[in-house]
Amino acid sequence: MVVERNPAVEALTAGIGAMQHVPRELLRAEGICRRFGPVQALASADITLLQGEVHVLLGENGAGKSTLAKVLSGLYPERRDRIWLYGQPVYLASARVARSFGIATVFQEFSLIPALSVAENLGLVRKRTSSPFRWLRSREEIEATRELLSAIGFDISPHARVSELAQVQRQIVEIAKAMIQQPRILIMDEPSSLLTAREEPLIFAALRRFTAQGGAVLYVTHRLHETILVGSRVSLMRQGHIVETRDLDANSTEQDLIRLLAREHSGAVAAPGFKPGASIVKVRDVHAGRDCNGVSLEVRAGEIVGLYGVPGCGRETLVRALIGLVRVRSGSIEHGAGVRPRNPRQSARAGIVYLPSGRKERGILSRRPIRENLTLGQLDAVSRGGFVLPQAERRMVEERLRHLTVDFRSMEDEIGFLSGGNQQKVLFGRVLRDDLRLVILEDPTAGIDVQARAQIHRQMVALAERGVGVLLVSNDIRETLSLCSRVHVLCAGKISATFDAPYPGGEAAVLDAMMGQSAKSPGGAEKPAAVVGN
Amino acid sequence: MTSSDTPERPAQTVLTRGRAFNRTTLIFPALILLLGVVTSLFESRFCSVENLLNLSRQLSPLMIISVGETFAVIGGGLDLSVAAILGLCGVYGVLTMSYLGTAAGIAVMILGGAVFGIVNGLIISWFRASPFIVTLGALSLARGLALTATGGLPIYDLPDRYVNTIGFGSVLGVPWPPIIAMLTLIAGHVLLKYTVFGRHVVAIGSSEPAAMYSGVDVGLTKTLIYGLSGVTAGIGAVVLTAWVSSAQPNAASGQELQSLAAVVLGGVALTGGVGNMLDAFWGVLMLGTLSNSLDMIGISSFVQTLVTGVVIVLAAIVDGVRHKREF
Repeated sequence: MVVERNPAVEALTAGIGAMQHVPRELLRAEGICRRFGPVQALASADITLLQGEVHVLLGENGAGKSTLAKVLSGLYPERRDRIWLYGQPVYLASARVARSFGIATVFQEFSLIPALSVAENLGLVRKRTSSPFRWLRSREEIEATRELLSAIGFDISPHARVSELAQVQRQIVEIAKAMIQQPRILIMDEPSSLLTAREEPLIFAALRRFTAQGGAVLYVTHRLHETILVGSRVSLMRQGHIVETRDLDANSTEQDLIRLLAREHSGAVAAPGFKPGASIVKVRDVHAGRDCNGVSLEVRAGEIVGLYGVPGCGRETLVRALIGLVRVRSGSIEHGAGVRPRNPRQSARAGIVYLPSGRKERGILSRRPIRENLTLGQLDAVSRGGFVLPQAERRMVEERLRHLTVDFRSMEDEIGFLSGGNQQKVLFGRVLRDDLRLVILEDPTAGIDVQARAQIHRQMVALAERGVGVLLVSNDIRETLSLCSRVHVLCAGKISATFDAPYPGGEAAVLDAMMGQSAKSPGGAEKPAAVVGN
Repeated sequence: MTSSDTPERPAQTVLTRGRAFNRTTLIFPALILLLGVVTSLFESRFCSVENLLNLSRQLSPLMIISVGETFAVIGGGLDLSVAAILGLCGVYGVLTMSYLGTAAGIAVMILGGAVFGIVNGLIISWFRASPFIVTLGALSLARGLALTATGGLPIYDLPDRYVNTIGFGSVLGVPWPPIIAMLTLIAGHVLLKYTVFGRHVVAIGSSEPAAMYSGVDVGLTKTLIYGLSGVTAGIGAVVLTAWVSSAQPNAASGQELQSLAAVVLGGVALTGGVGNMLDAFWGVLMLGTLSNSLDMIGISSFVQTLVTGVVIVLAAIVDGVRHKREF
């Protein structure tokens, strides 16, 4: 990593080096409170960050983790906060001030400018002069960027435009952007919801190097296995409080954390004995768009089929071809009953519904009531002659919300009032048409809490039992294996391997297939599925 | 999910709700009343029945095109061509009237507006073109057509019955123009709030991808939005030509910005997805009362232009504050 010192941090941290062996406290916050309207997001939260630790902030969505991370990043300034940095009381008046104190943050929302190159984006924060008219010394920036990215272990060209990068790569650049600021404290707010098993270890290794150099990381997540992998201490948050903080060591297991959480982690739903029915959609050697180069798969009524792959592997293109948004160049898509849809509307009318990933951008209607969010696209069922029947609509919404156990006060509340998990449940409610035949779910549980996740998994199984075909497009391997009766691994636009339950090779086999190490030849539709194991 | 889970809710959502109540029920009527009272202190004629009826006639075309503008803005776009289409429809409608009669003229105005708007909408949805540029071009195109048709001169040749009923006639003392304006407004309200189409307009304005993936026909909806805006321009042309007893190629020039300002001033978010017809109503009433008050007090039209500018900028600021998002 580039060794360039930040003078402001230097001044504050003078003397820390002298007593390196004792873990020094870099940050201490006491009694942090935040209230948003009627909601107490933080109720007297205390936290400390020690030199050299990765401190995991664990909790469900809505527990206040993100709010606390934002407070410590200077986004919700409040003069009454008692916060000490490197032993001195500070007032984090803005994100800028926090940055000048050596606190860098990787947010859930992307902060990169799509039209600029990777190096230019990193250059925006690297320079210490703040004049908006300064020259960007591009060669130097490109070198620094290349060095940093390769230090984290990724091969992303500094010249690449951010808009051309896959989401995963953007996430990595986002992390690099925080690192290049030479922080002492790195705050990461759910950084890994997009990362796959391939990037995770690299990022975690980079974090360990960072802490070994005397930094501290506050790692916000709701995932247990990450906590075990990366954390040296964990604080559990619930309803705006830090309920408990404890050290993690090599012997800590997820079971310990589950006990700590004291609520049953009901992640896995056993794949039920499926009795698949008629074929709903049969994809044969489809070439479409730029990155879908010969995919074959079939979904039958009553089964959950997994399509495992990272974003950018062609999975979006395939799904978009299924609902008629992308033209199929060669190969065929056979729909069990009726015509092939030419657009999402026809597709929905034919009972084929796609719930894309990206809740904020492609899912919710922000600032609209829960009711409107739920009935979007199915108003036909609750209208007559073009007029919405209010009572029928309310009845439909009430029924679905209850069925999905959404925690809400009024269906007229804006959907923004709900936690991420509950928002996702509402979106799931949107696909539950009465005439549903095939539902395509893309990362349906990304970034939501354990309970909501379990609920959505149960709903998927229930749909399959009802005879609906489910295509789960996901990069969450546990979820995929625990739910699907068949998993196709999509890699560079081709199916690189196919696995059938009960997956004797386990996660390792699937990951291998994705990394291309045991790449089975991309089987045609007729070939029997390759079961990797023993 | 247990009820003890506290969702993280953004603070401003709550504020917006509180403000929505105050805004629509209290603030605008209070402001307009205040403006009226203050003006009356300077000029007692302001409160006269004659002036108020005149004001209501004056405001009607703006109110009518603002209904279309509301659809465009809530749908995530905007329509800069409404006023120009109004001028164009007026010219061709009146020309038709002198050959084929009043009814045919009115039909040409409304249908012509619809066709022009639908073409706007088709271009915007087929080519994913920016509504700003497309309707800006349409503005120039429509004005050009109107000017070439008349050689730039007004047409005064209107049937008397048309002028006397729609322009100056009244029902139970209420002139026709405000009646037509209110009917348009109510129709727009019903369309926006109670129909599937209206729901789709809001959905597209809130998140076009979400609407598209949920099976909303985005292209059709957008085409209808601008078609509807064209229809309101046509209705506006009927009212305006009758009331001023002439068809002017430059009629209502600048009103596209006035209606946009009024709608935003009333509380429709420029970013789309938020707002209703009542917002448009109060916005137009506010702007109209202001300009009439300045008239009555005897402030020159130059200064009026200036004041209108200030109010429009204020509307933009209020829009920014009101619809501020958390990052």
